[in-house]
Order: sequence, then structure tokens, then C-alpha cells
Amino acid sequence: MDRGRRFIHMCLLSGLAAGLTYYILNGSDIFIKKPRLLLLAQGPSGQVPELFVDDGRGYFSPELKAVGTTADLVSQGYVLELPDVPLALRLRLDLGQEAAAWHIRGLVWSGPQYERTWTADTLFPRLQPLRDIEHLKLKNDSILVTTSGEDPALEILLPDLPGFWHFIRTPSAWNPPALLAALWVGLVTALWVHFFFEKIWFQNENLVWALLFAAFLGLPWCVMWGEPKLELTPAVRRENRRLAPLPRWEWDSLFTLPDRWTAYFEDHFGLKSFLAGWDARYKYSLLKSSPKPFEVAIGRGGWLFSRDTSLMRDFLHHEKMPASVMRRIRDNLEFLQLWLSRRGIRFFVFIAHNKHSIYPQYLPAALQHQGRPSIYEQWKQYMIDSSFVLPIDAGDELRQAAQHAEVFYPFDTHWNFHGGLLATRKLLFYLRRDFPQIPELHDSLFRWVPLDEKNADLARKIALQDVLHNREHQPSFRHNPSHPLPPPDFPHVPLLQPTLCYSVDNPALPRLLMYRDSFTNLMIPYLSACFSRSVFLWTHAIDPLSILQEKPDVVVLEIAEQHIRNLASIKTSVFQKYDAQPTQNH
Amino acid sequence: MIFSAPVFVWFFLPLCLLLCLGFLSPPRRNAGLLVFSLIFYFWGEKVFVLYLLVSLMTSYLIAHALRRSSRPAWVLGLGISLQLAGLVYFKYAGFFAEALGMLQLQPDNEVLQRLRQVHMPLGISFFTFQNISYLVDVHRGEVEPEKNPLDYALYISFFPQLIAGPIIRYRDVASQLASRIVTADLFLSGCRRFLTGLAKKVILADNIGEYVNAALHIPPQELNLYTGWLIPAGYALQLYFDFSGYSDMAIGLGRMFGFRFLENFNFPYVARSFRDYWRRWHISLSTWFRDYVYYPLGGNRKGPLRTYLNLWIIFPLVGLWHGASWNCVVFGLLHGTFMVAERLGLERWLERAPRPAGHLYFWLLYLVSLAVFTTDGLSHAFFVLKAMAGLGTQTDPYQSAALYFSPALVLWIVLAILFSLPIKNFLLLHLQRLPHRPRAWIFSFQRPARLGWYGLLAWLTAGEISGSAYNAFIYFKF
Repeated sequence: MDRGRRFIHMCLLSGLAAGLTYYILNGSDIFIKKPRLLLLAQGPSGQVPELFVDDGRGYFSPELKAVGTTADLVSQGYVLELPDVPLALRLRLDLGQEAAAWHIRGLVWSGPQYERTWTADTLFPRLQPLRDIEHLKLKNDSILVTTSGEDPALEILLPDLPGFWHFIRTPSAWNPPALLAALWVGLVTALWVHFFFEKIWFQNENLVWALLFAAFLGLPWCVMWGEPKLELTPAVRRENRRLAPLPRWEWDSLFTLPDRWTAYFEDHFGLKSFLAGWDARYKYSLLKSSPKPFEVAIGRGGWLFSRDTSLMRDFLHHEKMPASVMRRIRDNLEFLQLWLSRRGIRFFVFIAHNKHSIYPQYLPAALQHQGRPSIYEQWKQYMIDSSFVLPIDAGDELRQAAQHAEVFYPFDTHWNFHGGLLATRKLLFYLRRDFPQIPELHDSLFRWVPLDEKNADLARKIALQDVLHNREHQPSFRHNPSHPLPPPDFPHVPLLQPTLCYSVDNPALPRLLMYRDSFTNLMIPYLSACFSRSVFLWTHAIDPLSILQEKPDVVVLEIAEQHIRNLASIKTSVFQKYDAQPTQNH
Repeated sequence: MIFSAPVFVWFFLPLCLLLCLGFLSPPRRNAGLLVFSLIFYFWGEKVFVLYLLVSLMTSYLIAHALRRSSRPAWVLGLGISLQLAGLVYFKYAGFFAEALGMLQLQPDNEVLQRLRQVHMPLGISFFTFQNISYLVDVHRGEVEPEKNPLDYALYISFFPQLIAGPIIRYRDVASQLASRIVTADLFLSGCRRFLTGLAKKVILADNIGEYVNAALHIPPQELNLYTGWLIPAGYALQLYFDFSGYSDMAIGLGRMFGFRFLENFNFPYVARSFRDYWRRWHISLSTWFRDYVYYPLGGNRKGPLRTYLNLWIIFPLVGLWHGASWNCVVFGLLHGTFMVAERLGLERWLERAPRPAGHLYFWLLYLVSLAVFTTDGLSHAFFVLKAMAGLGTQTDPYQSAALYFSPALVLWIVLAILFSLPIKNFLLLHLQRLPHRPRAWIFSFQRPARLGWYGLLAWLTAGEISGSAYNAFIYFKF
């Protein structure tokens, strides 16, 4: 190999190493030059607003670096340092909790790749009142914001961030320590490449190949038995299932040993979650495709949707619920209604809508329903026409709220806490007819706390839970009246998850027993505050023993839209043991 | 156990390499490899490993009996009959039971019911054909019977070629069974070949196969033009990269242990006729049928009519070898018919016609035959062909074309088409024509580029294997 070619190799590899080093260091917190936001906003008596950033995946609260005076612009400002290079599109300012006048003087957005300043007049067109804003006007060199309600907020819409060439043209935005480190790494790489080619590669090329294959075949093995801590996240958490145990050697079960060992190995081999995560990441980011296209669909705006066949077919409104099933469900629910009312217990059936029903606009273009009624709509109409048990749902409220806020998580099958609160309010609206002492859940009871959770179920299904988080502003009680209690034991009830139990120190409130599925998880913080005792059982198998044991005032059956067929299999016969009276006929 | 399973790649194979190459001296390696091969077979097929042993020991003993017998043809007949009896029972019992059921001959007969449920041991078609070829070769005097039963057992059960071929002839590996040297170059070229095969299988075949399988599950009457074509076209690519990937892995694994197997594929999709195709596709099978069935039937030496008849006999058998179903028989009949048509003059016409016409002829008919081959039942095949003709009647929106499409699928298909062509040969040929200096300059990048290429393959392959083992649940699964 002549000098010219060697030089090109060195340039290529050292350039690559230097670029990679800069990229990593620039994005990390090793050096100081992190993205920085300076918001010059001032409230009454030096109060500063609470600031949230939406990077296109929902609002989150960035790491707060400092609050105080900045010498850069004018007097007092609010300085926020962000933890990562953001793709910020919107900022939200929560302006205290009472009526006041605020002054916003400007915004400086400086990062490793860009630097931009908005003064009051350039910032003004980008302000968008969200709630409780009385006046918003430009005055001299600042924007005057007058708030009125208890939870005022406004939004700042930012343009797309500048790209790579802007960064190249703006030396002031460079990150000198990272740049120096990158140059150093590039130099070392060049020397190493020179040494590698001269001393190792051409004299011992087979060694390099052997190392490559040894790494390919041996690394998962070595990590599995050598250093399992190298795995970033235990598979049990990532895959949400019980993993196969290490098989024992037994002569009796010799023939099953290979299968048991295979199951164990495939659950536990080293670097599994790391490799599967990267595989999913490149398919999602680079190929813009779902890593499991027939399990999870990527919709518009990156929203994820389950491709569960029955759910999809229902959404596309191609299915018809047989009359016999509708009749059976009706009979079961009416039986329960009567059985419970004879004991002075109120009974409600609450239906949780699918994400497809509330956000059809985010579905992939191919998945558009045909305008025919869904299974749930068919059944609901049937119940309205022929039954005294009326199912409750929060569909209208969720759809209305969805026009200006997110009520479902983009990467999860469930509604978010905001959606859960809306659903709770709807349920309580009906409950209050019988129990007027149940309090109303006004907005003023809550403060909106940012939530950033790596547990989105659809993202998990495609191994992208580290990338796609559940983010929202969770309405959280300012003073939560409920407190958890040790859950009662219901040994006869088959449960998917442990029972939860809460109480409120107000004996005037009714007692709740709720049979539910996962959608109730997002309602529990609010529901539990409205009952003197509330018990949540993760099952739809309503049984008389748990009711008789718990003696509730209200029984609620919450069930997701796609599962309503399961109501046909409620075993009413077990109730008849406790009740001599026959089922009412229709 | 399949080669693309994590337990094979990251458990069985490293262990086997470590023990057989690291700890066993060359004379003992055959015994070590035999033990690992039997474990490999036991792993997936459990008690049927006994059938494998009985099958290979039978042909081992009969081969020796052949040499001592005064009526070797009878002994050979016995040997072949025994091998075929096993194959027919395990592979075709259900098929024949179905056929009898279709003819309404005692459809509820308990024996027929049981025959339908007979388990087919994995790789039975391959090791049965190897046993038969060995017996015939011994009978013809082309090879001496193997004296060492362990070596013969290894020849039949050697795990790289046991479940998906290629069909190895004893004469090709006899000397290697007796002694072979594992050099670093051979071992590493085997590693590269194995990795190439694994990448073909998990990156291209499996990803395309996911869409093809989904399309195959569409109710037949709901197929549309796109899904109708996706089935045979996607399957053509899936089949090639799956099968040739397995062959690459087998050849690569063989090299790792010092064996040199013959090539099994030679870019079959550049064919312009079915005759050309069968010279390039699954070469070990087509040459097996040629040497052990076609030639003994007279080949093309007994006049054109007999040749056509022979082709009509051979190809349904080839189809039946691929799978015990009427679809496979019809697939074989179609190919036999195309071969006869080409012999009748079509091939001469194709040679004179522009090259694209030949490719168009081959691909159109090949996809039609694959639509028959890959579907479940002839009525399903009919619906696929109907959809391919644009006469599909899809009404269910859940089966609309867009739901069986993604940008990733486009990429897999483009890559699959590119890699099914001899691009490397094409590039090398054109590079050779360059003047010395630019050619030398470009070739100077060859070694680093090759390392980078295999590094990328290793990374993507490991990701795909891990992704396939990743099985998350929405709710905690107890």
C-alpha cells in the first residue's frame, strides 16, 4: 500500500473518530456547552414562571440549572439549562397561581449547534395564550401579560431549529472543549491507524478477522456468564413477562431439556436488550418502519397504534356483533344490576374508549374506518334501546379535549392522566346523582406536574421504550386527601395485578369496589380521592364473594372498548347461590 | 435448532468450535463432531435421532453387503427400498392419507387419521437422498464402502448439512472424512461465509417473509392486485435468501471444520429459461435427480419423446420432494411442462430474442409456479392467480394493500434483488478493465471495506437475531 492510500485511510478513519467524539461529547454533560435557554421573564415580586419544553414528543420539564440575574441581556431573567440537545418546538410558561402582571423581555436559545435571540417584538407573534390570560400586549421593550385565573399559562412557538450548515457558519456556537477533544482523538486515531495497518493488519490480517468473529460469537456468551450487569435493563422489565428459569438436569425430563434450555437461553443471552433495542432503533429511525409491523403500526406524527387484529377490524367497522352476544351481555348486566340493587348497591358500567376511536386522525392513512358503527357503538345502541343498564363512556369529552390537548399517550395504548381525569369526571357525574356528597374535581385542585416515564407499552412492544417515553403534564392533587391501605385479600378472584386499596378520612363519602382493566390505572389517583374507601380489582370476573366481603355502596365495572365481548362470559350462576330469586326475563 | 436461533449462534456453535477445534486432536475430531451432530439433531427431533441412526447404519451395512453379495442389484434394491420406505412413511403418509380421503376411500378410517398425524423428522429428505446416493455409488463402483462407521455416521449426520442440505455426495467428502487440515484461511473464510448466509437469512429472508406470511394469511377471496403479487414475488426472494443462506451457512460451517462442500446456488434469478434455472438452483438436488433418476430412466439418449416423458416424470418428483402436497406436484408438473416446451424449440427462440424477453418469460412463469407452490391448497393458489390477474375482489378494508407495505419492505426487496444478481462479479469484471493506477487505487480499499462490510453484517445480524427473540407483552405475562 503506498503512502497516498494510507493517508486517505488515515484521514477517513481519524475524521470519523473525531466527528464521533465531537458528537458524543457535545451531547453529553462532560463539557459545559450544553443547550441553554435564557428566558427573561419577570413576575410580581421577582417571581419566575415555570417553564416546560415540548420537543415534539410531549411537554417535559427540563433540568433546572439556575435561576437568577443574567448579565447578557436585561436585568433579571430565568436561566434554564437543558439536559440534551433538544428539538424544541414549543415552550410553555406556567405563570403562577393568581392574577398578576408579567413582563417578558426576550428569549435566548443557545446551544452547541445554534444561537438565536428573540427580543420582545420578535417574540410577541410567537406567543399563544393557553388559559387564564386576560391581556397580552407589546409595551416598549417587553411583553406585558396580565393573568386572571388560578392556572394561567401561555405557549411560545419556536421555528425549526437551524441545521448543520448554520452550525458550521456560527463559530460562536461551537463547543471548544469538545472540539479540542475531538481533534486529539482524531490525531490518536490517525497514529493508531498507521500503526494498525503497518504492524498489525498487513502482517497479521487473520488476527483481525478472528477477533471480529470471536466478538460476534463470544460476546453474548461472555456477557451472559461473565458480566450480566453490562445489560442495561433486565429483560424481565423490558419484555414485561416472566423469563424462563435455568433448567435443571433430570433424567425424567431429558427430552424436554433442549426446549427448556432454549427458552432459558433465548430469554437470558447477553446483550439481548441492547442489540434488540438497536435493531428496533434503526428500523424506526432510519427506515421509518415499525420493527414489528404486524403488531404495532406507526401512525401520523409518529403515534403508535396496536395492530391487534380484532381491535383493528372493529375499528375499521367491518364487524358485526351477533345479536345473541348482545342479548347475553345485556342479560348478564341486568342480572348484576338487580342483584346489587337488592343489596342497596349502585352498579355502573364504564367503557374506556380505544385510542383508535379518539385519535383516528393519527392512524396510518391506510387505516380509515368506513363509517359503519363499531362493535361498541352497536352494543351501546342496543342497550339504549332495550335495557335499563346504560353504559357510560367519556368519548365526547375525550374527543373534545383532544382537539387542543393530548388525552392519550402517543406511544401507549392508554389515555394519559389528563384523559384519566376527564374519564373520572364523567363517571363521577353519574355517580353524583345517587351520591351528591362526592366532591367535584375542579382544575383548581390540581397542579400540573411533568411526567417522563420509560414505560410506554406500545414502545415496549417494539423494543423502543428507551427512545419513546410517556410524557405529559400530569394533573396532580395539590393536597391529595386519599392514602393507600393494605389491600384486602380476595383469594377466590383471579387477578392480573395486585389489588389496590385507598381511603379518605370522610365517612360521609360512599365506598367503591371497582372491577377494572389497565385504563383505570390512570383514573385511580382521582377516583380514590372521592370515596371513603375504594378497592380496585384488576379483573372483569365480578364475583359475589368479593362484593359481600367488601360491602361497597357502588360497584363500577370498567372495561376497555375492545373487550366488551368478555361481558358475555360473566358467570351469573355463582350469584344465584346467594340469591333465591330468578333472573329477570326479557 | 435452526442456524439463525440465538441458542445455535451463541451457545451451540461456540461450544462446538471450542471443544472440537480447541481441545480435540485431529484424529478425534470426527468423533467429537458426530457427538455434536447427534446432539444437534436430538435438540430438535428428540427420539427421531434413533431413526437417523437406524437409517445411516442400514445403508452402511448394506453398502458392505453390496460388495460381498452375488446379487448386488437385489441388495441395492433392498437398500433403496428401505430408505424410501422411511421417507414415504414419515413424509408422505399424511399426503397419501389425504389423497385417499379425497377419493372417499374410507375417509374416517382410523389408520388414515393416524397417518395424517405422522411427524416428519427434520432433514429426512436430505439424509435419505445422501444414503441412496452412497449406496448407488458403491454399487456402481465409483466409491469404496466406508470402513469406519463413525466416519460414515458423520458423513450423513454432520450438522451443517443435516437439515437443509446441500445434498453431499460421499465421493466429494470421502477423503476429507479420512483426513483434513483446518487452516486459518479456510476457517476464517468459513466464518465469513457463515456470516453471509446468516445475514441473508435473518436480514433479508426473514424480514421479507414476515410480509409474505401475513399476505398468505389473508382470506383468499380478499386478495387484491398488490397482495396477489406480493405472495409469489416476495416468496421468490424469501425462498432464495432463506435457502441459499442456509447453504452458505452449511458451506461456511463445513469450512470451519475443514470440509469443502460444493456450491449449491449460482445466481438462479439471472436465468432466462427454466433449463438454465435448474442448472443454477439447488444444484445438489438437480444433479442428484439427474444422476440417480433421469439418467437411469434413459435421460435424453432414447429419443425426444422419451426425453419429454422423463422430464415429466422427474419434475413432479422434484416438486414432491420439496413438499408433500398437491401444490408441489402441480409446481413440478408446471416446471416439467416448461422444460418440455423449451426443448421443443422455445429455448432456441429465447436465445435469439432480446435478453429482457427471456427474463420476462422466465419470471412471469416462475412467479405463476411459485403462486402454486407457496399456497395452501389448489383453491388458494387459484385465488392468488386470480388476484395477480387483477381480478381480486377485496372488500375488507383490513386487507387493503397499504397495510402490507412499509418503507422497510421496499428496502429489503431492493437489497434482495441487488444481492440476487452477480453484482460483485460484474463490478470486478469492469474494474479489471480500468488502467492499472486507478484500479490499484480502488483495490487498495478492498481489505478495509471488506472488514467494514462484515462488521456491519455482524452488527445487523446480531440485532436481528436478538430482535426475533425479543417478545414483549403489553401486560405482564404470568
